[in-house]
Amino acid sequence: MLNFENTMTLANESLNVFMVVPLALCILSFLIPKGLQRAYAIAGAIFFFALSCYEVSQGLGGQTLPWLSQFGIQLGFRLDSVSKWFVVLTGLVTFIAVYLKGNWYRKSPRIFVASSFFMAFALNAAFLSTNLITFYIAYEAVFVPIIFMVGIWGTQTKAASVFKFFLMSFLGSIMMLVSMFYLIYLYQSQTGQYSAQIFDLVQVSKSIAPERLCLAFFGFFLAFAIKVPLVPFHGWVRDAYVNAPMPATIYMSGILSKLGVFGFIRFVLPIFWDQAIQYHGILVTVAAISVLYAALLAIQSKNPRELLSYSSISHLGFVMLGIFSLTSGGVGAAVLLSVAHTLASVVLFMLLHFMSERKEDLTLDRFHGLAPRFPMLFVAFFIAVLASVSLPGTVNFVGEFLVLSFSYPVSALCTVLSSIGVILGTVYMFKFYQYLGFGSPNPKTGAESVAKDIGVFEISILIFMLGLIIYLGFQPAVILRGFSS
Amino acid sequence: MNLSYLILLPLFGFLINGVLYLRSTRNSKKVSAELSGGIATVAMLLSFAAALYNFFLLRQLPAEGQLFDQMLFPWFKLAGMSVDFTLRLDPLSSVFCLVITGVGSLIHLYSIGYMHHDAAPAKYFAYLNLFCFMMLNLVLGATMPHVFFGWEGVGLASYLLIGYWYHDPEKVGAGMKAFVMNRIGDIGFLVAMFIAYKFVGSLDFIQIANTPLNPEMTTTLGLLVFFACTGKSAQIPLFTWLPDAMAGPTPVSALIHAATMVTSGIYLLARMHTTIEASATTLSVIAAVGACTAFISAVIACAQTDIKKILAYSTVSQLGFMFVACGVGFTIAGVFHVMTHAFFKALMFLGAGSVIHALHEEQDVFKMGGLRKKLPITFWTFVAGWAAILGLPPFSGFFSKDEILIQSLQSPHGSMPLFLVMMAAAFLTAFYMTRLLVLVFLSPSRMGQGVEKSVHESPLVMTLPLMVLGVASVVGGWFGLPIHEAHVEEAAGSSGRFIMLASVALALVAAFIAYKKYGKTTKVEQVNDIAREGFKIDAFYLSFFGNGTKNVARWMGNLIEQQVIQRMIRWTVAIVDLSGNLLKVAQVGSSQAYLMMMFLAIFAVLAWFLFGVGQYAKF
Repeated sequence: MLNFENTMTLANESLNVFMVVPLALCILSFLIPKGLQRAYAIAGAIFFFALSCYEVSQGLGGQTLPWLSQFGIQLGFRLDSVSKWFVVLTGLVTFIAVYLKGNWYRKSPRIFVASSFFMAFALNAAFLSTNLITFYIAYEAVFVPIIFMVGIWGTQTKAASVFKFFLMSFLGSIMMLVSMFYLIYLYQSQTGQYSAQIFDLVQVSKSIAPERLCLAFFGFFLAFAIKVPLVPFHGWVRDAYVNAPMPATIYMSGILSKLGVFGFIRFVLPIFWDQAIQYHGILVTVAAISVLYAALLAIQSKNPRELLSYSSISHLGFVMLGIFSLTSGGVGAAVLLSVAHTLASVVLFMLLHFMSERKEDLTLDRFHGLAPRFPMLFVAFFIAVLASVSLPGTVNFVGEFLVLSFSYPVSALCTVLSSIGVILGTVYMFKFYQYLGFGSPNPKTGAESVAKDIGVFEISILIFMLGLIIYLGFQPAVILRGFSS
Repeated sequence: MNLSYLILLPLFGFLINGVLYLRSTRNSKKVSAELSGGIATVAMLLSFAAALYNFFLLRQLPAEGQLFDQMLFPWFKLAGMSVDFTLRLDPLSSVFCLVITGVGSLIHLYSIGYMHHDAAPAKYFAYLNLFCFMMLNLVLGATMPHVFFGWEGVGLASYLLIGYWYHDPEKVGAGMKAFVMNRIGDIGFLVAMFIAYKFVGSLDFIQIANTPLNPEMTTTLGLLVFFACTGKSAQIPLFTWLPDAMAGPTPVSALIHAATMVTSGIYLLARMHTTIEASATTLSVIAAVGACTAFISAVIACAQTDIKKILAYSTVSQLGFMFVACGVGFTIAGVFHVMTHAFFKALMFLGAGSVIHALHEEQDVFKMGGLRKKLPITFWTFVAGWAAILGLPPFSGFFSKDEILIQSLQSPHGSMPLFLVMMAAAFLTAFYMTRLLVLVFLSPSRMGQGVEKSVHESPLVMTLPLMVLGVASVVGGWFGLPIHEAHVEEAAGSSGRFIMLASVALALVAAFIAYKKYGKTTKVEQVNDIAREGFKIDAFYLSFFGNGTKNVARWMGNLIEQQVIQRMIRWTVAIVDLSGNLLKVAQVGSSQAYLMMMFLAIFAVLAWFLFGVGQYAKF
């Protein structure tokens, strides 16, 4: 049912720039003096993002490099209509992450910049791999910079949150690793050769009794469900998002969660198609519960970052609902909604960072009246809120609408329940905005009183991001084109 | 024919005023109400001209083919679902366009005077133009998602304008309530779209109308659409936001919460009338809900003391009348009433605004009185609106309202109980409206000395729209709807004539009673009954749904999240620790050690696998 293009016939063969450039930027950063790190990182990230966009516009492609050929193993990379958007997002999120000012540029900035580019490298390697082993290595490598970031620049309770995050992901990964070897073993026992290429493994899975793959399916499912995360595997999210430094939170919510989404699309659906159909009812129910449960948690939240992290889970529930509809339309819609969610959540976290730079206390239990003091910031904030509640005119609406349209014929009940998440989303996002922006301004104290509205460069970034949200809201064909066949 | 000007002009107005406002926040120079209001009003007037021009072009087409589609751009297309951004002009959307741009222009003009002293008029006019842009999209959209775009957009503009004075948390809360209740209704709209896509395969209104569905689906679709309408058009059960929405500036109440946005439910039912009328269940639900809303909110209106709240409940009640028209299968009468109601209710709101403006934000009718001499233009135009809503001939409301009353009895879907409830609602309407008129303009003055001295008639920029709407309230019903000349005459059978006479007589009796009761009021009345509090429906929603959701959320946060999920993690940690201790490897207990372990494990496994060791091992 889901046909992805066979890469080997595609033209674009310069995929290594997606990995070589960030790796080079990562290594180079150790040569740059401390004071210039931020300028270097911003320039590098812009260059990397622009290059990613250019390469993606050159068309899809695949590339195979010999590697350990004595075992018949090859390195495979592929840029298809799913992975190309995640690669572009990696560039964009990297730029935003290194752009933000904070204590990561005061305390060991080199490690921060190197970590950021290393993350971009690992993410792209994961998004492009067609070989399960390289995918796994890249997938695990993404942890390293995150753990550095949370460990060095996180808040006081960081040790516990790092551990929770690490432990949950590690459990998932181990399951996936075992399942992976099982698949490779199956291939070997059938053909007598080793291969970890996704195409080979898909063929194996088709020729084998579905029961034998059930456990392997759950191994993969668990790994990605923790990463996305789906309820009830979300226990690590709150602490990790709240205690991490803002760039790490932006990475986690903006792009690491998409690694899980991508894993479902690239690996789980093609390999475990029969199992996905078999457990379809459970899968859509889990997605719907994610939407509602996380939205309710967001409603009772008083901490803006916690609220955004729960909101992130809720929206990713919609993405997963699209994927679990097991239709090509649903998957296309899920990719669109993933892009939409990355844009909206990155902007929201970025704006939250701007706000907390200007005001220490942003607790959501009273009105702070900040809108009149920072009008530009709050206009941008409002548009981002509208995107987050999926108002038509934003790409989030198109994504969510299409996801629900395609999941309705498959599971009417879960779709209708998830739609209630739209109301809850309105409640918590508007509450969030109103508490911060509205009401009478409190008397200003000390450093707060001199805080200014956002500057020209910040405004340009916001115009770019929000413009993208609105442009794609009316021209989603840019992304959907690849799925209309 | 080019429809894009119709919607682009308000959009440009919004963008220009938006940029002006944002610039003013940087250099802290206020943009004057004259400049920003002028831009906004000109945009609306030009849009009105475009609407008129297109209306006449449409009239020239043969009666059967009065339909014009203009595709602006393809919107989204994925796996069999294809939706374009298409504007569709037909007699129905044409009438709505005229009302929106016509009444809209007048209210923009009025606002220049009303918002003269506001701190940021450019922001206000930007929102107002944004509203009109969205409203025009709502009525011109050819597909359900396009209408939904406008539907949500007007809700957004309404939110922004209700909470326009956002330093007051109460006003902010009113805006939030409106938006959330609208979104509850939107679930109906969304699910209706999913059903239409699944069973029709298209979201174009013409396709939906032409595809017969099985009876259950037809009923479900119709009821879902109607549920969406109860949100936007403030019907039971989702009507409690509209009285609170009066927190916004008064011209906003006139434009959004009386003349245009709240009638979009009627528009949607008219747009989908084939589906609605195909199911007797849907029709009877609509009629029952409409009649109950009309009656209950008329009762509540009789007990209100805030001039704007009286008008708000009156609007809810009148919308109930329109829904009854839809519910007896006579949508076009509902649309006719939308038009006349837009004239007289906008007029009365603007009149109320003029009174409030003159009395320095006083809204309690028991603190007014005797304003007939002081505000002559406001008074006489208000009388025109009053006569129109009472349904006195030859004022506009007479034609549209009596048509609904007659149809509620004579139509195949009508019935005697329905008719009687409607007559009772009409009686109450006459009572509370006369009460309002008498208390504000005719009874002895109850204003404080200071206030009384400074009362003066509003400037021309505000009275001119009043006069134009006053004329429209008189003549607006004479020609019927410009799209269906046949119906009005057709209704006048012998029993129809009797109903007309009876309803006019009833209105006059009610007006007389109200005059007798309130004509000599000299002191501030304290009403404290359940009707004044809207039968506590709002309080019930707040405690049941509002606090209910909050409690469930808190329960989830405290119990499930803390006790189950986090405990699960702690157990896992404990198990890992335990096994670590057993293995005497992980005694360090720090994350770095685990990280190290993981990498060692990975590399060991990789080595085992890659370098051929695995060949000899069996899985």
